[in-house]
Amino acid sequence: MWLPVFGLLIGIALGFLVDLDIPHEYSNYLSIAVLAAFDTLFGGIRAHLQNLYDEVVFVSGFFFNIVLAAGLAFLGVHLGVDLYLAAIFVFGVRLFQNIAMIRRILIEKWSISRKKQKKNQ
Amino acid sequence: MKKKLSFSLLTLIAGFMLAIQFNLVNKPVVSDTRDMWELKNDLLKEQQAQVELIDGISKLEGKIASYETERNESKEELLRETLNELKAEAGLTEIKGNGVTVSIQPIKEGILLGERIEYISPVLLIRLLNEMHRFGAGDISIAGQRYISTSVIRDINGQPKMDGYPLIDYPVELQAITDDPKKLKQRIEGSELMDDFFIDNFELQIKFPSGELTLPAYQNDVVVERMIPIMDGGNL
Repeated sequence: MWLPVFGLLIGIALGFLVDLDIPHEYSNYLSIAVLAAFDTLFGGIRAHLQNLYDEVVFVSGFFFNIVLAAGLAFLGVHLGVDLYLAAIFVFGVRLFQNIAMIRRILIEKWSISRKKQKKNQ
Repeated sequence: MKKKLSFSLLTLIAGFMLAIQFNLVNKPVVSDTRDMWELKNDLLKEQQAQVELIDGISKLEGKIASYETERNESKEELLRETLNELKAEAGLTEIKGNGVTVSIQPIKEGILLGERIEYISPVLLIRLLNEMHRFGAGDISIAGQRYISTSVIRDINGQPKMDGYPLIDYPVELQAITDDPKKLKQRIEGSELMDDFFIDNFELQIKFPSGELTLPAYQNDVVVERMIPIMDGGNL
């Protein structure tokens, strides 16, 4: 449970320590890639809680979503249509849905465990 | 465990990306705290750098210009050379070199017997020229007239003429430039040409000239018919 959080922290620390300078034009791509990555991560957590977790699906989804989102943004820039908005919308909605599902599952589990505790008392 | 590891790796990547994006968006705005004199100094430095750059650019441009002119000149030179080569090949220039002289004259016996001297048959002359070319002769002149690829030897009003110039004064002298004069002489002497001329009451005398031969340039204009210059790329 704590290892992924630990990994996240290390990643953040690395990102801050490594003074990687990315041209400002690419910030759009990076932001959408970050969004895609978080969408996949929360999707993974939800799937884990629902016991539906599949490693291959998760890992491939992680990279595929990032590339797809960045590619969509790239296409949008070249077509003059803000296609990255579509990606942001989809990922944003899914992010909210996933987090809501996680919340419900956690609440459900918590309430079940409380009931058990009450029974035991 | 393996699941957790891959998940952690991906969270690490996501965190890394997040941090970089965070850095990118929240770049601290460095406020400019220089006062007027510092600004002036910096401006001066930049101006100096600009002057140096402009100096460098003008130097390089000068170099380019000089290369350009050199190239153009060399192009012109090349064209001139090519033109001269082509002229030499076409026989429009004077040419010097080693060679042999072939003089055609009526046989003395015929004159003594009082026979009327005929003119040299153009067919025979053309045969002689062809054979000489076959034996390795290069440029040829006949009776002081340069023989070129468009030259015509034919019978005009009963007289043999080359490019309109009559070949009736004996001896008619052919000058041929060749790499190997000795070989040319031997091959002509060994050929049937001597007999062919003898039948027409002429004899051939082949000599090595003292020193180099000088062939004159072709004097008339070369008339080129039925030829169109090819444009770029070979399209008409």
